[in-house]
Amino acid sequence: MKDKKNFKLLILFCLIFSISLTYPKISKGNEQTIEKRLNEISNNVRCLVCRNQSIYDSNSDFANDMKEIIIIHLKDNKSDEFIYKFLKSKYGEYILFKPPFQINTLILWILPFILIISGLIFFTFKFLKFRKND
Amino acid sequence: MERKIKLIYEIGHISIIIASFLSFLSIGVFAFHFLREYSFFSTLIKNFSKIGFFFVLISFLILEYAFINSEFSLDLVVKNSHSTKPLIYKISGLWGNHEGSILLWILILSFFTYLIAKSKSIKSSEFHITVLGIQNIILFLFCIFLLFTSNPFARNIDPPLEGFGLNPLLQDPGLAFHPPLLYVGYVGLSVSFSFAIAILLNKKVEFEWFNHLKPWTLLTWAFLTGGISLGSWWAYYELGWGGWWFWDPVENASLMPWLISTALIHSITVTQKNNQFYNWTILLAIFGFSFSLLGTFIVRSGLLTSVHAFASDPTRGIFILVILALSTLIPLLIYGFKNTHRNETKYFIFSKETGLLLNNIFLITSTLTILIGTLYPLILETITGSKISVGAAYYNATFSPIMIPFIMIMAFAPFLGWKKTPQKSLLRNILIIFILAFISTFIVFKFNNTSIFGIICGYLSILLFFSVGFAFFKKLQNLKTLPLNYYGMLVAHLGLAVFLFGVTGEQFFKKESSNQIKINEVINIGDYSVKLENVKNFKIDNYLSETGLFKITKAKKFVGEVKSEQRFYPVEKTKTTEAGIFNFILSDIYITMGEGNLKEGWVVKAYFNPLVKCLWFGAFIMAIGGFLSLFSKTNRKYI
Amino acid sequence: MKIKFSNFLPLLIVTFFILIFAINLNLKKDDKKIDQLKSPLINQNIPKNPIRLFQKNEIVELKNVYDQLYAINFFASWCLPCKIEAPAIKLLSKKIPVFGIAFKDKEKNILDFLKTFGNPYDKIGVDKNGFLGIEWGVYGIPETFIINKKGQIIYKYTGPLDVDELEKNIYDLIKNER
Repeated sequence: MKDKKNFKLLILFCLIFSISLTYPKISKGNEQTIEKRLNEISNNVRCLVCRNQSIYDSNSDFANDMKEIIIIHLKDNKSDEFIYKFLKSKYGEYILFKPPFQINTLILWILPFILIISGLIFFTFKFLKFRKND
Repeated sequence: MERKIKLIYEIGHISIIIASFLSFLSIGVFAFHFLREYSFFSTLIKNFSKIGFFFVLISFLILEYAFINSEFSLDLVVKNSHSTKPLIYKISGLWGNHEGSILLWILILSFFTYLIAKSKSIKSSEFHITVLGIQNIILFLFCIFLLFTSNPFARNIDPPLEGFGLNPLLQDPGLAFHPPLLYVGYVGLSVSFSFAIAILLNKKVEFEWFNHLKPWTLLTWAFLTGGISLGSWWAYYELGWGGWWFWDPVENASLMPWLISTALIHSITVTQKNNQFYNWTILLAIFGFSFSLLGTFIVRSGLLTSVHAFASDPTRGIFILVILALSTLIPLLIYGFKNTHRNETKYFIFSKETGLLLNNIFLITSTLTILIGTLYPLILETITGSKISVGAAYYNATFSPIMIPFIMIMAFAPFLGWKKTPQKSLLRNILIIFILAFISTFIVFKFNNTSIFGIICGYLSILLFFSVGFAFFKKLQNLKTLPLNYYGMLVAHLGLAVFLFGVTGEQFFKKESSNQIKINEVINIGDYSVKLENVKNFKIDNYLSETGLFKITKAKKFVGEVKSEQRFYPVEKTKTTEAGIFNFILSDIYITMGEGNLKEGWVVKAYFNPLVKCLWFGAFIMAIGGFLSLFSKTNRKYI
Repeated sequence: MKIKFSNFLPLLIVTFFILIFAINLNLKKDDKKIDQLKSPLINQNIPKNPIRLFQKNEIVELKNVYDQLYAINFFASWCLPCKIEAPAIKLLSKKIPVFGIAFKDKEKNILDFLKTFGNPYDKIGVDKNGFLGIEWGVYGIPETFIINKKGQIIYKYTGPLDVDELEKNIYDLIKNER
């Protein structure tokens, strides 16, 4: 009986929380200037002559050349996807820090959520078992 | 004179050999006591462990002596030191390389073994022998690893006149202390490991023995917190990249044991309280040590590219892999066969047990998420040959969302009771905290623009502040009688709140700007203007510097001056960037100057990082929380 | 004594990881060379970008220059491994024509380099700003490509070529393509 009431409280709380999220000022990302886009993209591109740095972090020649090419594409109004696709076509998937969402990386992306869900299922079963033994 | 000096280093070498021999004898005692139980075995193994430590210490001090004296007949000193280096870096240079760092590991490991041998709190000699036996097995394996693959006392037949120098990035006080702190954390996990195995091996489950795990795990946790945050702080102000966490494989390798040891501390608490979570605690202790070995393995085997990696050598990698395999597979095998313990007492859904169960689930899931992110490129390459990269974008999409429910649970779990459902009034109060927190968030963010994630992060941080505050005020009447580990818990949780506050500021409100500017030109970040006043070139110590002087103003009023430089170290032939940081109380302005010249100007990056100091301040507070708990009466009893 | 399978699950998972590590270590043990990144340009047509010739006021398109097997070699005077691979490139040039591309270099330095280390190149192009290199997926010179009669890249090597690589992979490739 007590548990049921507690569940109700929990649901009430979740409702209030979600509603509250609509109040504060939410901004997507003001004007996406070329500089901002460059920073975002170069944070996602690997510097191939460095040890695990992005071209944003690196000052190497390669990193600077890459940034220049990206700026040219950005000034030409190309989209982020176009630029990523271009880099992928020349250097392969390895150059991008965000792993692709394809069949051979499915496990990579899905596993965290599978783990959480299995954890919660385990958790639920434990309590159902307790109830049964009541 | 020359003969005498050369001999001392051989003594250092022999010392380790003697220490390995003593640990081998300890293992022998441990093995034999399964066959026959002699009463003197206990004293024997304790003495071997204690004496073994002194030999390791001698070896370490002699190696340190070699570094301080720039003894170039030792290959290690040649490769990692230089006579013009400042003294403190000669000293810390010992562990700035693979061989020396293994010796440091062994030193800490044998010191902890010594402390356990000396411990008066372990009542069962059976237990004592087992723990020491396992510790010595690990020690022995590492000593053999050192002697056969990574000998720091290796000689140079033709000693050169000068050394190669120490990587200039390592010539920094922050980085000098980062490895020792981390290693205390990693090695501490071996102690929890040994205790857990000893409990597992025993015929009957002695729940009292779990009490010994707690102080050692707290020690590990506090030092890991300190070591990781010191590394992060160092990366921020020294590397000049403007970041403090890069999801680099080696960084991840240190974060995973930290998450596991956090889960372990909480899990042990449940086992101590009412003998629950036996499986969780044992498994967490085993995996804690596995993860710390994994970290060691990743850095030295060359399997993963990382800025932190030592020189890669697959032979060493194989050796460490064998140690990792043995220390994980054998205990898991034992666990598989021995795990017949089933003591399920019921607890209600709103009890502390539930909170901590969820805590375990979330922490372990986040650890496994980081693990899969770090290792997936390797796994994919092994199976299919294709190469991919897994970077910040992945972790932000997977690790961060998991943290959201985790921190919400963390906010109210301390108020729940053991086994029972809390009173309605308590639940009402908790709900009030949640509501208060989002009202505050609403107020704060009404005046500041940010994305939804920034708001969530800010909310979580404010929520934790309220949670700690409420917990503190609930006990206001009996502050004096509160056990120290309750304060420890409050302080540690407070530290996390401060840390999250820093993340909110630094991640979601930072401003950055970069441009190529000449002298007297300006870069603007937010309300601040940064003007390049001049650029000077000069030589100092062991490097050449090109330093830019920057003047910061806000609305035409002078704020401060900082210098940012490009350094070139001629001996090591490396260039480093030193950022110019102007410090406000919690935030800072961070300026880096790249290469350039008078004609074309220099590429200057300027950042305004709000609340960035909270990141490390928060971590520092967490570590203090850990130490407070460590020195509580209950925990002191069991060291 | 009841043995639960689920108790051995952690063991199995760990064994999997250890196997992965072991396999990888074994592979890495023999491979002392630079990690070759598999180029997505293999079996694709060459980039269409025209190339300016060195010291000549001409811009060419490679498909008009060669209709046989040939090699492209990105090099520079400031690049130390390029100096080391010069003899290997010379050997290669005896089998198939090698089109050199001077990468981010100055005219005088290129001339000095060719004088000191020899000129094995059939023709030489220039890539002043490195953008041509990016079109070819170049990231660490020297880099060598082999192109077949159909104008497809069939081989790419990053780093200094040595006789070993020539004998192990390149000569056979050339023989098969002829």
